[in-house]
Amino acid sequence: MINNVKSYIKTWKQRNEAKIKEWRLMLEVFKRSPLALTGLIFVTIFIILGIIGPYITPYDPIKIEFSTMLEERLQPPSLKHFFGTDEYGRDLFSRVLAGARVSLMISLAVMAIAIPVGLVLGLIAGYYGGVVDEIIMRITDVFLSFPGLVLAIAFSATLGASIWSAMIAISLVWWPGYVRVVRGQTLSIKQSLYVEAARAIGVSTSKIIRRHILPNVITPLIVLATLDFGSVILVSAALSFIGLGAQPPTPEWGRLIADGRRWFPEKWWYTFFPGLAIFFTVLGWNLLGDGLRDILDPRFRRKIEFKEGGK
Amino acid sequence: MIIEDNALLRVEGLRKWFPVKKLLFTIGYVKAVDGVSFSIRKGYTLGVVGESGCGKSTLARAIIRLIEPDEGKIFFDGKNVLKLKGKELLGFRRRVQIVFQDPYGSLNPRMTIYDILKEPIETHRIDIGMDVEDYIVSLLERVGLRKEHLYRYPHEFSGGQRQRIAIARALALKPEMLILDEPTSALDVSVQAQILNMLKRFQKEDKLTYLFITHDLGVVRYVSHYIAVMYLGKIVEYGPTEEIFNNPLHPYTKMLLSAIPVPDPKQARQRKKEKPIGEPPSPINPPPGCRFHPRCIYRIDKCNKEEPELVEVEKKHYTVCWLYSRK
Amino acid sequence: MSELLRVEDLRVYFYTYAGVVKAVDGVSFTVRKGEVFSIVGETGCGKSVTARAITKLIKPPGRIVGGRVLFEGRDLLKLSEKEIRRIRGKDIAYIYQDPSSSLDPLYTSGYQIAETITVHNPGTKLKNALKKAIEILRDVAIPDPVKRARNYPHELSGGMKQRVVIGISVSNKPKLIIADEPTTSLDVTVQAQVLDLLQELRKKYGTTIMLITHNLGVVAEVSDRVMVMYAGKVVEIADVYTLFTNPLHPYTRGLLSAVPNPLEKIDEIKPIPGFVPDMINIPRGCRFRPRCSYATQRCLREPPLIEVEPGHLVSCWMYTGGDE
Repeated sequence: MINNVKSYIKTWKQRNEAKIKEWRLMLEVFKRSPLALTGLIFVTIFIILGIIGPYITPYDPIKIEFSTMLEERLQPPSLKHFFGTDEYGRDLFSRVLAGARVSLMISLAVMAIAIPVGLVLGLIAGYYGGVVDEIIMRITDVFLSFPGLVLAIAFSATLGASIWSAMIAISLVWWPGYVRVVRGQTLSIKQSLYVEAARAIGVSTSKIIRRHILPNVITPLIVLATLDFGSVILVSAALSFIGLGAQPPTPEWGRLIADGRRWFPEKWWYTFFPGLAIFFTVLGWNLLGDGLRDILDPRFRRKIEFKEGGK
Repeated sequence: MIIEDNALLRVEGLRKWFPVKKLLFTIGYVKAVDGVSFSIRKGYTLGVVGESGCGKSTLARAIIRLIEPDEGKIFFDGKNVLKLKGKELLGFRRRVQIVFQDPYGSLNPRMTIYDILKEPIETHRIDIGMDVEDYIVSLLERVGLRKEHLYRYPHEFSGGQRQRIAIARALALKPEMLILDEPTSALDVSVQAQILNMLKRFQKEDKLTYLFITHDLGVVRYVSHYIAVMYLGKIVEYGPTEEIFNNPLHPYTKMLLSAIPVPDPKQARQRKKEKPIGEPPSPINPPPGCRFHPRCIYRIDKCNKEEPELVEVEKKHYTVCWLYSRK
Repeated sequence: MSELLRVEDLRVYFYTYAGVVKAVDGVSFTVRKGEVFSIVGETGCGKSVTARAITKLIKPPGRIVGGRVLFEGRDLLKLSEKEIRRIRGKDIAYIYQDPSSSLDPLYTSGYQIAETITVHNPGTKLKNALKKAIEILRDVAIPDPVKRARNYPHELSGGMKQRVVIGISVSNKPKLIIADEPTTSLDVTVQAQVLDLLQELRKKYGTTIMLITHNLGVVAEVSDRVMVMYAGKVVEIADVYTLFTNPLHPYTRGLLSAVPNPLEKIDEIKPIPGFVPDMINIPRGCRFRPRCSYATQRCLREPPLIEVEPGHLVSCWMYTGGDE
């Protein structure tokens, strides 16, 4: 039994030798890039906070303590309140921590909608071409010809101000970009010799798409999505800032900045710390995205590979 | 006629024009393949030579229906290929395979060699009478690679090795015919020789029929039994290999033969050379009459007006040129 | 014939993550005035790197780590970037494989030739340079040069573009033209025309030509002397007739019997077994050893390049005269 498992692991290792090497190389590239690592750290912190943030806050981020509200309101940063307090005496550190969840939720939801839609429509438009392509791409063009943020504002104003409408509004403006990227990539891969070779063998269209086109399309899409994560967070903060996203008392970074604006610049911490949170998160995603692009770029990887050969 | 009845592959009047569009209007056609007829008997190699833009690659793709031709007929083993559908088409694909010029582009960079070679077997569910992995290893060994290469990715191989993999993929289905589209043009000479000899060996062992497309006259002389010379979408000369080289008929063939560099300095400098005139023109709206007439030193009056017909000058040696027309 | 260029023990290494790639490793040769000197070899043999190193055109991670390049007695490797730029394009001109990327798509062919003239002859008026450019276009056998001078690169065919590139290279009457695979991207008929043109220009201007190619046919057609390279080393140097009739190095012999001669009936070509070595793990001793059917124990040491007969140099233990 144990021998069986052992030999199974051994053959698995043999079969996947090249893949394992590939992963090791990716890791190697990643380790070489301090910026990408920094990005990864920021993003990891953000995701962890997004999951457990609301449970580890030192104070309740939402409830107003009326008993102490007057003494505690608008206190500057101190050991008691790292980020100071707001006009209701709530701890801003707690509110910023809790705010990570809303940003994470919105951006995940947007990606969960925009990526599959972009993938499916892009693959169809790119592979089949002709009338289908025309229709899909003209609709996409219409969406892309409006500034994203303005369109998102319009949608979420129509849908009513809430986190849900912000999610839907951002998703609505986000998919067309992905359709374009996926379509372009599909078009170029469709003309590649290996797809021609597969067609000459008689491989069915659905298998060609799944086996030859999809894996080659997904890579640039992942990079793009990672880079976009930050932008989605920015847009969702902007929506909340103008009152269309998260509604009080939900702590949301954009909303916090909007609320703190009234007290700016004397009570600077009210806007500063939520702003800092947005800054680091967006920076983190961008750095990670750039790093991923390097990793997934075979040219970059080959350089590292040389090293393996030289050992 | 060039077409023989007992041939394995017969191509009759094949035509493929690609429209050239400007805005919404068609301003002309790339006459890539324009009325091409020939046949190949089982176990023989037909070499197709020509310069860039002569339509040789389009021809290759049209025969296996990677491109749908506009007109003409293709018979493989008596059946009209252009009428095949579904299962029958799949059956045809099993019997005729293709190897492309660029071994860097023809293998999916994200698939291991095992997956690449498994794909045809899986698609056709052919009876190989052994374990799939054993069969794939036997294929690899046949093209001179080893078992340990099985789970590697294409980028770990040299150009020559990749071309071996591409050939192994084409052979996986035990085809009867291979279309070889410049299979050695991207390779170094020493490796080219390895691949050419391998292909010749496989032809003998498996009675394979080859359609060998190339621009290299040395290569084509080495591998082919018959040669078709193409110029701007048309076959201008066809005949047995040695006939073509010893007794070229068409002025274009003569020009090609005197233009090729010869790897022998004495021969290179002493032979009589005809200076080639001009360059291959764009295949968009080619010249009227004989398409070669603007570059031809033997040009006569009617060359730019009427298109010459095919004439059999010697036994099985055909050309399309007014100089040989009996009319 | 007097000597124009002497390269001594040239070494160009590329410092990659993997380690050091010794792309050119101790290459020595001379080029005589007025001759066509060809460097032939397969992918990665170092022929192009050698050509580029002559005027220090090596970009990082590559570095010229040793040797001398004596051009008319001056060591080019010792010159500053500014000084060498005055030589590049004037005394030594390059022609590359792909004419499309050698030309700037934004300027007319006439202007591009004129520009090279004005750069190296300060004080020349552009108007005069343009007139001269038309003359040059006529020299490189471009029909209707006045009209073609006003054409942009995309309006010219591949052969015409390569003619313009050649025109640019001869515009300052260079002493040496380094042509790196100048006909590889051209069709056979056009290739013949371009090779002819190079020969004519050589006669007319007395230019020396260094031709880098992988095509043995092209070598046989135009060269006077030939150097064969393999994996960063010189394996054989001889005049073209000697090299083709009496090749000594097993690699040269292998190459020659691997190429089908289109003018002869070919019954068999003999490939060289194996593959070109990975330049990071170069075989010890003679680099051709793993593919060589004559290899013996002594080949584990590096063979010297010796002159076995006047003007015929070979780097192989079989010709050193010594025993095992």
